[in-house]
Amino acid sequence: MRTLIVTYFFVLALSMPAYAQQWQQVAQQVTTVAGTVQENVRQTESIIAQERREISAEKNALQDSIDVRQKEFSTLKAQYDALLQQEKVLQEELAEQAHELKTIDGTIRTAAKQARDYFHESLTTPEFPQRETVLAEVLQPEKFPGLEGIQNLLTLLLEELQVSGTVARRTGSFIGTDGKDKTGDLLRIGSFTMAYRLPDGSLGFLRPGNDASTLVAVQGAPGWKLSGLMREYFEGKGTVFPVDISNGAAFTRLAQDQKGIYEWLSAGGLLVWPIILVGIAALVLVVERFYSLSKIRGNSDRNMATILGMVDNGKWKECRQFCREQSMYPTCRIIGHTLKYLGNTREIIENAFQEGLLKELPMLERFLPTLNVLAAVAPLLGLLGTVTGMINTFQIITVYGTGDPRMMSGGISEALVTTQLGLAVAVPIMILHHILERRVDKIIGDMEEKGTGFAVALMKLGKIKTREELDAAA
Amino acid sequence: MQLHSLAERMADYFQAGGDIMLPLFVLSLIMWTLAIVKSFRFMRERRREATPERSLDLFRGESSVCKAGLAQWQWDILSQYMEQRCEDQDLNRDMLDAMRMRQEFKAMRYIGTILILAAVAPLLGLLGTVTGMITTFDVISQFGTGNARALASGISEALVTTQSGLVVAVPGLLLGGFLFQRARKLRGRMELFCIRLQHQTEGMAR
Repeated sequence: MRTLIVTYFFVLALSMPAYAQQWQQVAQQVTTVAGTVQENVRQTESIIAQERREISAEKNALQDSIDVRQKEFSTLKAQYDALLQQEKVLQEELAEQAHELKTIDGTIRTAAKQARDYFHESLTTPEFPQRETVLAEVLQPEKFPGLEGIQNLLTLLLEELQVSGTVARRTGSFIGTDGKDKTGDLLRIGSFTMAYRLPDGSLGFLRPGNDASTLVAVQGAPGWKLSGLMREYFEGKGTVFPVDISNGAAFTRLAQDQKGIYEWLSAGGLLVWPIILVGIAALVLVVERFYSLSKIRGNSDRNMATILGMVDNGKWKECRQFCREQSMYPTCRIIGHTLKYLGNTREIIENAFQEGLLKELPMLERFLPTLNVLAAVAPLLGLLGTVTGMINTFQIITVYGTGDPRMMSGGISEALVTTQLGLAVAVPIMILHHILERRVDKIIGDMEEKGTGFAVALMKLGKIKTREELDAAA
Repeated sequence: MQLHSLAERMADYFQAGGDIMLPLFVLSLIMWTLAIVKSFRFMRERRREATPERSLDLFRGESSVCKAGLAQWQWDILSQYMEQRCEDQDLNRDMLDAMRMRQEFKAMRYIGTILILAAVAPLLGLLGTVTGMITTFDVISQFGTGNARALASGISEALVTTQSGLVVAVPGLLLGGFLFQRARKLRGRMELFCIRLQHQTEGMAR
């Protein structure tokens, strides 16, 4: 269009001067030019139209392409989402599987640890020293044992199961009761009893040591009867073998129970000795008393009958002689003493008799008060020991606290042993003292009666003068 | 069945008490035997006791009837006195005193023993307590305080013996005291009997 206008104004300017002359020509020319221009315009328009067509075709093509791509994209996106979903599911599955695996691993480790503890205390372990390495492999930290490890563990356990049902004899070494290494015949019955026989013939039971693969002899020898059975079995003669199902605990307990009297006493500390001294002194006194009193009692009735018979017959000389001969008996001594005063008044004779009795009393009652004091002192000494022991205990508590009862048991056993001993000494002394006292009372009563009987016998014979007679004689 | 289970329980109880139970049992057996024998004797004697006048009458009659009709101590004193008495009254009194002393001694017989046994029983129980505690501490020194079952055996030993000692002692002391009172009254009666006997026989010829 612009070209059209420019061209028009150019044609106008050109044609202006020659307007007059050449108007016709010009008009013709203009028409030609106009025609050309129109032609050009047409041409241009057609070109434009064509280009427009081309562009829109191109645009359509591009639009199609975009649509196709878009479609493709959405398809792929859906696919991607689905894959993500799948991945998530698989991840969960994986986690689950890993947990299971961990559980299995833990179970195997626990089983292996249990097996280690069991084998550690098993009597069969010394026969299979390779157990330790197998277990160590299974128990390696941060490493899954694997199928091989599990199988090895299983084999060990099955082996133990099998071995625990057998009786095995072999020659081997162990730690003896004295702590030295010994070598001898070993006999294992199942997994609970093991015994040894040394070449010198000594027998005993064994228990597993502190570390696996050693055996330790149990303290305390089996009795004579058990030894016989065991020896017969070792020599292949017997079919019976005593078993110790407690793994040596019973023997240890037995050895504890058979604590000697010396250990018992030494647990009581220093105060035990005075108590024992008191007991021995009391025993000596009691034996002495029983001996001398038993001599007195038996003969007094018979002697008295003899004496009275002699008195009745007036055999004074024989009577004196008899009393001298039997002077170990207090009754005879008293009567012998009284006989010296024959012919005096009754009062004098009675006084003489009482004097004789008073002389005898200390001999009869000798040591009885001492015995009484000893019976009272023994439990007091025991009580003193109790207090001493408790003081020791509390001193230990101040130093070590109450954490370990074993620390305190020394003082407590001192306290208890002294109390026990004090009572054990006092009770028999008390009873024996009572018996002796009764016996002495009886003897004294007996003597008094005999004395009165004697006086009466004299009186009947008229050998006792009344005061008037005596005065008359004087 | 009932008896059987009772015996079983007794055996269990004995076992729980340990070694001290045996002397304790023997002691209580002796104590109860003495006490029963003594109280029976007291009862019988009390029934047969007679006044001095009546006993003298009896004595003048048949002596075997007299012996059966009088208490033992009355017969003993009467027969001895009638046989040995003389003209001298003072001597007679002394003689009676001596005879009475002997009878009094007989009356007191066993009572001291019962009392002493009753006094010894709690001491034995205490001994058992101490023994049980020693067992307990032995167990502690071996196994620590963890083993309650082993601890309990020692403690039950201690408690059972203490209990048994007291069970034996308390009735023993009561019985002993009761019998002691009886014997004291009997002694009073003996004294009275002797005095009246002497009065009765004062003017009597032999």
